[in-house]
Amino acid sequence: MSVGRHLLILLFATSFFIQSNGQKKYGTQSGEINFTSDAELELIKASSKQVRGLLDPATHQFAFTVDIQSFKGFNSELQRDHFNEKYLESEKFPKATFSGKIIEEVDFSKEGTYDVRAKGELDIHGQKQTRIIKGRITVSKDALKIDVIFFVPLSDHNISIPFIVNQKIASEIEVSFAARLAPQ
Amino acid sequence: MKQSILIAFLLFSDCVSGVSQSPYFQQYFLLKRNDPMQINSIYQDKTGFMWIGTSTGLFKFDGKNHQQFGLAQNLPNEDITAITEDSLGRIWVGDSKGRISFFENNHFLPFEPREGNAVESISDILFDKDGNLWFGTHNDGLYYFTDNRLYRVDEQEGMPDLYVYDLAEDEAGNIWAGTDGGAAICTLNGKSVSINVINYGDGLPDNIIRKIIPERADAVWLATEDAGVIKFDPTSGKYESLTNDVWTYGSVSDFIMRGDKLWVSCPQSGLLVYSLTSGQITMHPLGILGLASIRVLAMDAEENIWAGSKYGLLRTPGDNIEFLENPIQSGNPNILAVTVDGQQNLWYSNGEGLYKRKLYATESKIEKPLALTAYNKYTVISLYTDIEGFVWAGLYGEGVLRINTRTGKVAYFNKELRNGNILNISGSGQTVWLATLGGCTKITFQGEQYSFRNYSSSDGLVSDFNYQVYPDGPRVWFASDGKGLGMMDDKGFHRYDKGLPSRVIYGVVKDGKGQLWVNVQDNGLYKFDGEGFHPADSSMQLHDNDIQILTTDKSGNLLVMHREGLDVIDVSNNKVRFLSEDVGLRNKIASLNAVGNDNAGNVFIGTSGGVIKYAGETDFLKDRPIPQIETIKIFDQVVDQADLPRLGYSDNNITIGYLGFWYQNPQGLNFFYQLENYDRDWISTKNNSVTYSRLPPGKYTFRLKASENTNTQTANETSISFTIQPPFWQTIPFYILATAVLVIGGYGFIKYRERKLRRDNELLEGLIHQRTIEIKRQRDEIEARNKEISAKSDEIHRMNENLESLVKERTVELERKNQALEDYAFINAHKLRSPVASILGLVHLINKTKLDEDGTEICRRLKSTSDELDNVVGSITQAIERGDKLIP
Repeated sequence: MSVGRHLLILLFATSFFIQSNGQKKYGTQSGEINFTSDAELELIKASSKQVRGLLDPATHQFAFTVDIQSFKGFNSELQRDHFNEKYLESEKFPKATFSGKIIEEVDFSKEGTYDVRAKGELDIHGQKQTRIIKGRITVSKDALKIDVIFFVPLSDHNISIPFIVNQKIASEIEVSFAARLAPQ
Repeated sequence: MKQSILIAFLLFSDCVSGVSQSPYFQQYFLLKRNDPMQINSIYQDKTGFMWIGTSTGLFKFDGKNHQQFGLAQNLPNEDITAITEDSLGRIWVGDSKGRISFFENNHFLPFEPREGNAVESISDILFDKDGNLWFGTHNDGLYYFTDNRLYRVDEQEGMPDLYVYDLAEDEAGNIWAGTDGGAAICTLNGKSVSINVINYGDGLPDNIIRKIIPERADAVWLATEDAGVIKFDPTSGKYESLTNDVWTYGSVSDFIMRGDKLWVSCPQSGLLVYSLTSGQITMHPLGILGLASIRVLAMDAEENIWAGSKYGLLRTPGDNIEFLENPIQSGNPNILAVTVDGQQNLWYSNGEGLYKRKLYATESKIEKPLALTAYNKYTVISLYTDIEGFVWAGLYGEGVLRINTRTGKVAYFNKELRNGNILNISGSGQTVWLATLGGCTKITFQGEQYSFRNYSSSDGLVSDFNYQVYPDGPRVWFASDGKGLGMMDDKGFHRYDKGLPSRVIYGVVKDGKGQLWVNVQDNGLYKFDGEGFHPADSSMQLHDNDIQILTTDKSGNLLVMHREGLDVIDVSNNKVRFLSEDVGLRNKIASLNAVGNDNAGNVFIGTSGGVIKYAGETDFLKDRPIPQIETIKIFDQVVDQADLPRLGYSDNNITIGYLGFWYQNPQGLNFFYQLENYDRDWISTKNNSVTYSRLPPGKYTFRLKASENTNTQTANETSISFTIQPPFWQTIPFYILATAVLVIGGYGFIKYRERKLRRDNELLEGLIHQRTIEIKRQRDEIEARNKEISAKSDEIHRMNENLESLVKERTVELERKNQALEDYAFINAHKLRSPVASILGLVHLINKTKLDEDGTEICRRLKSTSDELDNVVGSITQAIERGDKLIP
């Protein structure tokens, strides 16, 4: 079992306990993940609101997960089926996760906007890649807002596109992620 | 001309996107069926082998052959992530499970410290100057092994982060570790380590340090995640970026320094080359052989750059030669003419038009400068950039254009020229020469003022058909078609053809030593000595004599391009370096004299396959293949090379396996070997082994050279010496021993003899003494006997004397008796015989008378008795006579 998976379990398991230093962990209140495939012949967009995640301000560690089958908004049902069955094989790999650590220092007790980089393992389609992803954390009085846009090369995650449709699906998928986290 | 001015401002409107020139990349397939494989680490060992750590095992590669190591060779995991070599030449590898192994006796052995192994992927392994082992991990911190103990360095010891990308040792022996939290500078004090962290607070523009090259104490090159490569001065805390602006090429996965250039792999954009001297950045973008996905870079001893990506292994000889293979995108890539203008734009033409594009731009647009002019349909067959940076375009039958590259204004000349077929344009200063199919034209210009002077054979020009005009100070040389070399000076026209095998001269050039060379049709290079021509030295042998391009590089070396490739001739050392398929020169045939230069001295050549850029690096001229003796076998058993000096006289079947490292062109490698004390000459071969058997005892040195051509004088050499020992009975110790045995034996024998003689002598003396005593005794005895004998002799003498007198008496007596006997015998014989005879006579007379019977009987009886008596008398006489005889 990978470190990322360990971390994920650990974070969820301990999320109900308050840290000794008094800092509470943040958990997702709401979140949305969108992806866009802007290929020559077709633009595909889909999104999911079934994002769950945790962030430990004490250690800067975090874990987020989304159910692949929860993505909606495809151009057609057929496209959605292809997405789930052919490309992401969501029955076999039902979740995509990103877990790791925020590299930059963030003062979670101080309101403000922080540009950070998060380093962790991005697990999509059962293939893990160590990624550094840029994002913005906005700390407000009783919540945390995270905004991230990043690109996922399909080849990084063993997602192969049949030649016949390679003009319909981009080799790099743009993913945008926004979440609101509140202390638990 | 007015028309050209009118439309000049419309020139640069027709644009298409293009690609930049790129170096040659060779792709290697180390797996069967050319499967792609992920390269994690590349390392060249001290011997010269390339070691490639991949997700499917470790590969050892010599340019031609490779060996794969995996579970079968005891590697605990085939996902190899880090490679290094220790001071003993052993290869150490780390894997994605945190384990480390080292290579010994063709097998991997696990590195098993008592403290256990790391738990995350090994990112880098390093042996410091003192031989301590360091390794970094992805998220498990830094480890070092010293004094037989393994220590882990984590946040408690001051590591800024546990994710270590890279390790490097600086001059002072400090270990730099690049992490997500900055660079950790680790100093080992005994067994403990102290850490100094450099991060944002110390002036770094980015905390994520992915690669470190400490160049000097005040210059450490750091590759960062977002700020590109920076040169950091730890003493001042200041840094310099490669770019003045924001780094836009994305994260840097690796970089290396090669000469005055940094080669930087940026997974989001491609392979970037940065010139430290000019600050020029050249980007070899996404798409070329998967350059964007390069994870690791390495440089070998030949200065080839090796790149490992997710898809496989690539090698490039560098950017000395670069290619613009599709300069017109989907158009005809056969380039007829090429030049570089004053604004570093490359101008080139094919049969369809004239094009230009910016050199050194990341994304270049191809422009058609004549697209909207009246000259659009003309075919440009020659190009030249004059001293003012304007481009001259020679047309096919339509004259010549002079294009102001800044404004686009075009000046057109045709009717001023004697002939409008402009084969070649050259020039010097404010003068331009046109070589045409109807003589030559000299154009002198000053701003927009032009003067023309046409020369033809009627003026004394060597020929009306000239391939090239070569201005050379006060002289001008003419390469003529069929009339040899022409020359014009202040005295007039001259012609030279002495020694030429053909009078068709395609080109003329003067090398860095001031020697004039001509390109003779189908006959290669000839040197002009002022009167006649001489073929080039045999050491300057070209690989083809059908030359399309003859020019010089910025160092004055001759550059000769033909169908086989490019011969670079170092005229100072009379050496030829041949560049062909190994640098990507395949199926590229240059157009005759289609060559141009930029201000930096780069040479551009128009070929059937696009434009070639030759930078004229000179380092590669020194490069030589490195020969390596790999195995020694005695009767097919591999032996340790260190054991060789002790070869016995019976181990006399030696096979020496060798190879050469010449990654640029492994197939072109030639070996030369000589077994000193056995082979008379060097032997040339392409084989990789040689066997010697039944070598007589003696000392031998096997010398091996490897060369990329047949020139062995400058080739690198390696050697191995060994001795075939003579049998023990031919060795000096044996001789010494034998002599010693002889001496000792002889001495012993002598001593023995001496002792024996002495003993014998003593025995003899004893014997002699004894004998002497005996002899003395015998002598005494003899003397005594003598005396006795002497006494007896006297007695005998006396007796003798008595006997003699006695004999005399007896003799007298006997003589007297004898006389008496003689007398008696005489009487018997003579006096008795006579009466007997008378009786017998009477008897006989009686018998004659008539007697009666009685008388007869008496007579007969009387006669018988008388005969008997006569016989007695006769016997007495005979006895006396016998006695006479018996008695002397």
